[in-house]
Amino acid sequence: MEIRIEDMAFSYASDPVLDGIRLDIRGAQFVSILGPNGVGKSTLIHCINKILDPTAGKVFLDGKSVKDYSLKEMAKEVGYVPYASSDTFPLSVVDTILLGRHPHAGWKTSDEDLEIVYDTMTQLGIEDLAMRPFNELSAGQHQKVMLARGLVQRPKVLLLDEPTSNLDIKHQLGISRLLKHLSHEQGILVIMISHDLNIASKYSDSIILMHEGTIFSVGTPLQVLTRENIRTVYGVDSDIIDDGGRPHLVLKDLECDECRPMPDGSVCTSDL
Amino acid sequence: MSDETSSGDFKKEYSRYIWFKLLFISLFAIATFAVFWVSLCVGTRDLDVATVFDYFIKHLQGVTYEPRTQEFFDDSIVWNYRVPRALFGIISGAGLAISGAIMQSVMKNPLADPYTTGVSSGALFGVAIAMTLGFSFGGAGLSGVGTVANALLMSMVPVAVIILFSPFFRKSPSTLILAGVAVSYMFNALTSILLVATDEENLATVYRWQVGSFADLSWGSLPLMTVAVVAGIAIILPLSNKLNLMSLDDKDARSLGLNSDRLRILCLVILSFIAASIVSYVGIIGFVGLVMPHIVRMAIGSDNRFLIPGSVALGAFFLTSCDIISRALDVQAEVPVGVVTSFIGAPIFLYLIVRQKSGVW
Repeated sequence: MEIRIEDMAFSYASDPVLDGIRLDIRGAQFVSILGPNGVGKSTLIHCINKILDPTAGKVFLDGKSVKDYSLKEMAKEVGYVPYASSDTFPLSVVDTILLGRHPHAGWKTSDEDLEIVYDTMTQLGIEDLAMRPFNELSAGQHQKVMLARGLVQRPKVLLLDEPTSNLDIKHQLGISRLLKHLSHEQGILVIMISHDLNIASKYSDSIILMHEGTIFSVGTPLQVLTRENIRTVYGVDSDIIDDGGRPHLVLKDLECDECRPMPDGSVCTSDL
Repeated sequence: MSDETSSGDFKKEYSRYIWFKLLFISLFAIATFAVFWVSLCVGTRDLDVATVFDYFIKHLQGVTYEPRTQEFFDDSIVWNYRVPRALFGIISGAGLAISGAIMQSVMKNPLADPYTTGVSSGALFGVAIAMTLGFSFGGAGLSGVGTVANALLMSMVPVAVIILFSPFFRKSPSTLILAGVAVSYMFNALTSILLVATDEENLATVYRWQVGSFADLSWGSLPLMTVAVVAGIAIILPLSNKLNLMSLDDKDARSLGLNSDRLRILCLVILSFIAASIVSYVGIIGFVGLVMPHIVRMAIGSDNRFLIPGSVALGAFFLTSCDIISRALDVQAEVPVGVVTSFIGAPIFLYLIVRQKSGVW
């Protein structure tokens, strides 16, 4: 599996979001996309799976332009796990996961669909939730169901938009570990947007660091997560310590010239 | 327990889950069949089920009776008045409920009903034109046919406006609902202008139509509505698995291979035509389209593959039953069926909302 992006740009009306994006990702690996809020991370993955059409440049999936894929063909190749899912009329957990079979299945639920759903639920440890209403689950269970929906698409590429954002640290580690396992064991290219630099560093094979609508740096965690890069992209100072060959960031408190002479003890927010 | 056994147990549990939904649909389909026969018995002339069944079958066999005999009048009452009226209850109940279910799914809004795009306000304006200005489209006159023609044509105007302008705005559910509200207000204003200047008799006629009534229905009222409802069900049912994706965010649906914008517009056209064909004959019958789909959701969940046939069965049963009650309450005056649907349905729905344990919305 290969994703190649050539000089891609995307704008909302006259507001440029992405510009000059070039990227080449190959093989089954676990990739994290990092960067501050509003830098265009979600827009980038939406352009990869045809949710959005780039305003310039091209995106190729295994050498074929995504423009030449129908939406259904794309859904067979690329799974997507959104940040949150709306549930105006929530389905049961099993029916929610079965939605992921839509690109492959017909009107009737087949035995094969049920087997795939059951295997995936078992893999994620949520088979006991099968008949529960989706909107009665905890945030962690909710996230696992969304992940299951993406996995039953049986995709070659799995895109995830902050899949661990609502989870406690145990679940964050569990989901990240699972994603790495999936990429290596099932040969899936997993691309995850994250705001947790240390979890991304711990589990990712590659990291894409974004800054002001462009790709600032791509490489292994050791290559990308440097003190200088973090300072430039996030405006935050940090110390980097070695954690079994991977960088671990220890963040320093925000400081600026206005902070120092504040005798009344109030907190400066000029950097926020 | 091996994985294979667990997988087998899961499939059995899923199968039971599906059978329960099918059982619900079947029960209400059978109940609708039963109330059809009851409906033929109720009216000024008291007839039992065995007698109306006998008249019904004999009529189908081509049996005729000596004019001015009791059998002749009974046959005429059953066949010319009660059968079309009962069929109208079944088909319009099914049509309103399916339109409501689809509208709620495509608009992702539990308050949406078949009239959300302004169908009813357009139809009301058509009726007001006929009553106050004495104008009917196609020169059909001011009899029932002329008023129906006006209502039907004008009821399709709001959805036509929305579709014509849709290339110029986002076709998100909220935008479409707001466009429907805007068009409705415009039609309501036009109707008000006509009604403030008219006499009491015309006002009363327009008001009776606004409440929704099954009086004055005949065989001639059935074909258009039957074609609209049957064709609508035939088109929508195969798309019902796609409607499940419509309850997701449009981006999520797109990532699963569905262009929500296109399907939403197609559904709007179909359900507006169904609603318009019903509203033009009987006026605005509220409650059925809004609430029947919610009651079905409470019973068998929100999977549109079962919600749509479930709404068809429950809507048909409910509206036919309400018509029976409206005639049983006062045989001479006949309480409008639109009043009965709300009077009976609202307390039942409130009770179900209070009893509801698991999350439906």
